[in-house]
Amino acid sequence: MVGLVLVSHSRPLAEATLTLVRAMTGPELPIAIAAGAGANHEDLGTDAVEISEAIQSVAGADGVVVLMDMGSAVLSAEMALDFLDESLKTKVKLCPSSFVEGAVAAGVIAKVGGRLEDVLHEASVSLAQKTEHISPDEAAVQPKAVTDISKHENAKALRVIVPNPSGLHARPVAKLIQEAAKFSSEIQIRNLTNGKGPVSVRSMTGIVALEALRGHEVELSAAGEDADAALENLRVAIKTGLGDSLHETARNAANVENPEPLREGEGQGKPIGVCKGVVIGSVYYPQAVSFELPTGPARDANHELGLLRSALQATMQILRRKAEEISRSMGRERGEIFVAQTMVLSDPALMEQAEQLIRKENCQAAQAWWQTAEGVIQTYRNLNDDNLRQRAEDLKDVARLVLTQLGVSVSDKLEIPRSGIMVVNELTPGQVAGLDKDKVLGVICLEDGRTSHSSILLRSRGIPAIVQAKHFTPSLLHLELPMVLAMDGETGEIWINPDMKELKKIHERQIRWTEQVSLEKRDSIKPAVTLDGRSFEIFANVGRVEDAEDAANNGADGIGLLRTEFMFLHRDSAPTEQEQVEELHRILKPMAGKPAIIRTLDAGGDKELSYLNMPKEANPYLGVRAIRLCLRNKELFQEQLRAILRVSAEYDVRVMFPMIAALQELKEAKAELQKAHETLTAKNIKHRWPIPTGMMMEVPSAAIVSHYFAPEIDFASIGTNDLTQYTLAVDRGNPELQELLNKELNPAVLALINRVVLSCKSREIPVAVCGEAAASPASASVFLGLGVSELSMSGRSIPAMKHWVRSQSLSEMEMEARNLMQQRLPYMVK
Amino acid sequence: MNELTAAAVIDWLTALSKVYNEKKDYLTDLDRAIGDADHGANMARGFTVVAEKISPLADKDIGTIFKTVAMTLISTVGGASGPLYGSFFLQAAGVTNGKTGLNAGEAGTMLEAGLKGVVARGKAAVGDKTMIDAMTPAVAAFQAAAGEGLSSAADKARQAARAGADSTTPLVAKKGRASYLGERSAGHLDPGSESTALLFQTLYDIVVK
Repeated sequence: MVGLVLVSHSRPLAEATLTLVRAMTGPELPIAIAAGAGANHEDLGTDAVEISEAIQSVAGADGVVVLMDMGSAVLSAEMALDFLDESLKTKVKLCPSSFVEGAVAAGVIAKVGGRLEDVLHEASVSLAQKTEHISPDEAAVQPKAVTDISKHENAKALRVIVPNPSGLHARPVAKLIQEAAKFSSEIQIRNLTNGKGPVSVRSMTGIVALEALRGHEVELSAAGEDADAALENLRVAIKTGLGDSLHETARNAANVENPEPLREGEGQGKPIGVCKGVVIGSVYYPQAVSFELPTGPARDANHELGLLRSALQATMQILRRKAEEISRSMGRERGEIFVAQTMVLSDPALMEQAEQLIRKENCQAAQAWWQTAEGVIQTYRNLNDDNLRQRAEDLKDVARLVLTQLGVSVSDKLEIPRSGIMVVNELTPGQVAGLDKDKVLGVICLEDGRTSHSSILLRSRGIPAIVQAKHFTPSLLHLELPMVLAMDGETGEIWINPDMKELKKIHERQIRWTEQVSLEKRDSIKPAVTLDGRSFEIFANVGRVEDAEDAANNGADGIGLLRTEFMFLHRDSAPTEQEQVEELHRILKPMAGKPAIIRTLDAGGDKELSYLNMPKEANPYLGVRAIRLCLRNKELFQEQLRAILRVSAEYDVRVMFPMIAALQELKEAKAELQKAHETLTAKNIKHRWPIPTGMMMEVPSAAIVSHYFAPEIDFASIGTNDLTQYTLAVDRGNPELQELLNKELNPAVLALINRVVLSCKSREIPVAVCGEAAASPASASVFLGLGVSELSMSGRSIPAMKHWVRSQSLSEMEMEARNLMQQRLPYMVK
Repeated sequence: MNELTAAAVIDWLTALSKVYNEKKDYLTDLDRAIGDADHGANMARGFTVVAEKISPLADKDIGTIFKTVAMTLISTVGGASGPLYGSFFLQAAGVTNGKTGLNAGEAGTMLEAGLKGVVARGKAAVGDKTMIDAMTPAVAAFQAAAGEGLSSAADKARQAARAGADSTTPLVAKKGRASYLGERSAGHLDPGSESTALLFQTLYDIVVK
């Protein structure tokens, strides 16, 4: 990687520029600064000796580009070159462009592995887009002219619309260049909307100068071996925003329309409660701990040394900045902590030892650094002096910081040693997901907002949380540990070391909260009763053990549909009766004591069983599937029926036959069930008999004459997916026709459902709906209004559905449904 | 004095440290008019350290002394005069290695090498309103009068430097910070040429002492 040196009269300017560059490149790029004059670099000025040292600290095989501000910076830099070895001197280039623009452009190109000439060129023309923007006619320096490759005979091209709210500005362009760097083809981009370009897709300034705004159409053209892959990759990258949020504008607009109400004092950032819960506990500041060091030998010792030096330099800068910040906001004494940390780092012994490891043992910078640091940490730990032991902790902290500067991703999983309240600066959604709920009783974030993803996730995980606590005084980030904290995640209140009187009040509040939580928990187990007193059973669709566990945890009243296909798919032979018994047992166990409707094998159609030698069918959905398949493979069917009957001895099990189209099929299936019963009886195997038996109403021929079927069954379940597919003659796998299936309750389908309900009602046979539509309140209200008595859905949808049912009145739903039946147009449910 | 000895060189540079500290505000005022108001401070800072660094070098050759001066100026002055005067002494060191004394001719060669170093570094020419306007005539006068002896050469040189510095007043700056002012830089004495004039004045003072 090409290294960069930033030379400025002003140390703060150089440091701020470094921050700007790092924002685009991340920490890996070797960058050093040489700035300021006088003892502490506090005066304005430059120092050729410092510059030459900075150059050497970042010099690797790929060379160095030096960016300078003005005047003596240029003279000193030139002079610095005179101090270098001839071999190095040829690989160091002074950039004639402006300091900030040049540094950012150079950083981006260096980061993506640009050669020395590329980096120098991009940096040199980096003013072009600003010049172009301000006075397009006087643009003095133009990005490198390119030969339009789209005219080449082997060139490929495609077009894409820029989706970024702010167009292709520096940040997404940097991302685009990084993507492009993965390919060897020559790639160009032009803006078709304003006619600018083409420019090389490796040219930051060139692309920015295209002024591709949101909605502009750009053309990517590529020539080379991997042209197709490159174009496709870049197309997707651009379409997905190149790291920009594509909804920025929409979100901002929403904020304007709906400003958050500000309570007194909230303008200065009062802590905001984002997830209910009262917690009292010790404070912990979690530390991201785990990381993986790179493996394998280093390729170039000098390069690794350069990396390590610039990582150390960058870390010192971070610490110095922190020290200043903290000194300003919290007093010099606290700031000194970070100054002390910089001193730990500047111990020359550390660098010497690391250098030895790099030179003699071929270690990579990160390996050498950590090995050295660990040794020293251990030495400090073994000392008797408390102050020195404390230095071990300091060193551990800063050593990790150096590692991140060396590009080692230190895992950001947050852990606290014992249960308590975690105080963090901010949280990523990933960190929230990784929190150990047993230990993390509550979370206080200094940053983050009410609507941040992390806050939303904290709510969904039910972890009491407060955000935006940074202005809370005294600062929560620097409490003397151990310290007891109390928080109310609803009101945003925080108490530091509450006294007994306060504690008592908080504790009372905590009791009220826990009672409320357990009430809600109990609620999900309670039946779903409408406002006018009608109770509905909300069942779960289950295929595997995990589904059953979900069902149990979410208050399912039973299993409305136990799919048995999973036991039969993806294997070389059918499961034995015993295997099925065991598997069913496992699935039924979490919901033991509640009714479970087991559907017999619904294979065929899209679910093929290799061991049955099923012939290829022209129309599998209209072919030998489900009950048709079972009635043609009676041995297989018998085994399943016996397995189901056997588990009925222990669980409240019912049997349901799928895809019954004709009365004869139902009768035949029932006869098979009778036979299984007789076999078991002969063997003296305990089972439930008679066992409630039902059928899926999913073929129109059955629904239309459902009154013929009703006397034969104990319950019916409407599969809305198949019923709709067969009624409308629409293949549910056909993407062209999805609209018909997903968005509408077709009047014909509604009429069939109505007919089924009427046929069953007269015999007091319960009717369930177990298709996807059951989980949507809009369609569920129609089903319930028509007289359906049970809904079956995925376990996770149940609490919401129950909650919704409790807010409805059945009489209103009935009226709505009756009105709907008069309509001839499809009823939009989503 | 017929020979500029190592001790005299140290005296010269030590005296310069005093002069630049005394004239610090004056040089800075000159620089404030057309530059960034740091020339006096920069020169004073640089030469103060120079005086400290060279005081133990009396038994060393002149090349070593000049080299120390050069490196010190380069890393302590801060402004453009750091690399410029640094180059002057670095090149001067190049022709005085191993020498413990310089006769008038050798001193002229030394000054000429220094001048060339400054020109190469700063890429300025006479008339650009820089230290070159004082240094070029001073070195030329020194060499022209070298046959008359060290004192005479130093005398001619300091007069030429003074005149050269004064000649910068009506000029429009072409190099350095002052060049940003363009026409507005005219009417002011160039601070770099002033510090050069002081350099030659001090050399004369030491030689005739």
